[in-house]
Amino acid sequence: MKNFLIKQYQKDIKKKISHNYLPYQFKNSSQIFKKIKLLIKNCDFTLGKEVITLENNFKKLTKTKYAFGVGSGTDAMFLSLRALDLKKGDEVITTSFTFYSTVSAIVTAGGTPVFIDIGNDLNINPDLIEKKITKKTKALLIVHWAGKVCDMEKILKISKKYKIPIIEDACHAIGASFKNKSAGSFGLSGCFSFHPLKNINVWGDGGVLCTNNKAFAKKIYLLRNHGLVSRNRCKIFGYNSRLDTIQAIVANYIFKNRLKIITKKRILNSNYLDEKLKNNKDISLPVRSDKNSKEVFHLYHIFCKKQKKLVAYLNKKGIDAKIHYPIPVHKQQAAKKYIKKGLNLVNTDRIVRKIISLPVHEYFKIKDLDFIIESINFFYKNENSIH
Amino acid sequence: MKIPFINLKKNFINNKKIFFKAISKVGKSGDFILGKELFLFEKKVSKILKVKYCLGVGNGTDALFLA
Repeated sequence: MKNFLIKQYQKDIKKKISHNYLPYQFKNSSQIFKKIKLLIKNCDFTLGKEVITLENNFKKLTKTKYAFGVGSGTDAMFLSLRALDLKKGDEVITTSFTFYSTVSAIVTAGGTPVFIDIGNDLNINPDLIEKKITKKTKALLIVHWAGKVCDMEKILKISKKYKIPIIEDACHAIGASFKNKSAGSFGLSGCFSFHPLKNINVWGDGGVLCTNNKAFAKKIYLLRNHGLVSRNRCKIFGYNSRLDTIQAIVANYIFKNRLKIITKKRILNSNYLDEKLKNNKDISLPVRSDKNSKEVFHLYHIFCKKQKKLVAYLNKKGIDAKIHYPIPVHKQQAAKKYIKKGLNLVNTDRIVRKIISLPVHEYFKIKDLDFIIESINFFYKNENSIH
Repeated sequence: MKIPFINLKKNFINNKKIFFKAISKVGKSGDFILGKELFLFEKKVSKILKVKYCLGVGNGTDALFLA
């Protein structure tokens, strides 16, 4: 029962070209500490003033009417599904190529996940959704993986035709858009995460939920804070999923001072790698967004041959290459009882065997990116002599 | 005379430097979630409570909910 994260942090942080950029980002936290000192004067530690500022920031960013600071991105999805009052056997359509929390939100909210295969853009294949819709389908929980928004034109059509709400797992997609409309603003609910390695990151967990639906917003407002309408009145039984004010201070700081640079640099770095790697015959690239859409590269992926050997080689060179994730959710032990016989996610299974993630954070210089490219090229040229 | 129910201010102001120093250290290591400090805290609590296992979670409600 060991907490495996501690060792992982220590191992990752030692790499020269690391995914983790937090030591740079919070090198000088004096501005944040100044705000925390102010907070002490008001003592509004839970759902305080800075949380409201953050919610307003997100309303503006996504052009939605309501936003709620919650405990995490997972909580945002869980509360969204809880607000739908799922009954036993109710189904939620999603993908298996995602972080476990997308699916755990469905299960802990009382639903049954129904997995659909992904396309070569790593998002849900919209052409396969309709076949899986039944009378029990209560929501489409779609994932804007790595910060690329799903094909929302097709998905919105399906949602309207069958009157099934969309919940967007936009945890990777802060600032991303599809045809100039922001991630998190298409569906009933847009769920964002502020995990320490997300494009807006806080000092722990945090998240925000955006919506345009008034009745839904009212329910989320109650569910996140014990169902309280006032200190002495409890309307429905809810949860404790309140964003704390210290985290909101950190998020607002990043929002105001860093988000533009983070987004711009991640896109620039990714485009640079794309350009340099596209001629390597051992590498291919996932389908990227078109001009009218903005992909924010929370993760930068490539498809490659000899996946595990390449990752091991890059790690040895001090480059923090990773696989997000080698075992898709539908093949995890936790998912066993939700898998129907004959489930065949061909593309998901194929992609997990060839995908790798390379770090592209905003603190890299061109020479760091060139080092990644050189190392990859060297690997394929000398592959037979590398052990 | 003002008699407030709690006085969070005082507790913090007296230990401000210690708090900020500790947070800066966490910032540098980047282990914001389930990190080393939590591990040490869990150890301390299990000693005080004389129990074998102690796990830090989101809040008291979450502890009951998970159990």
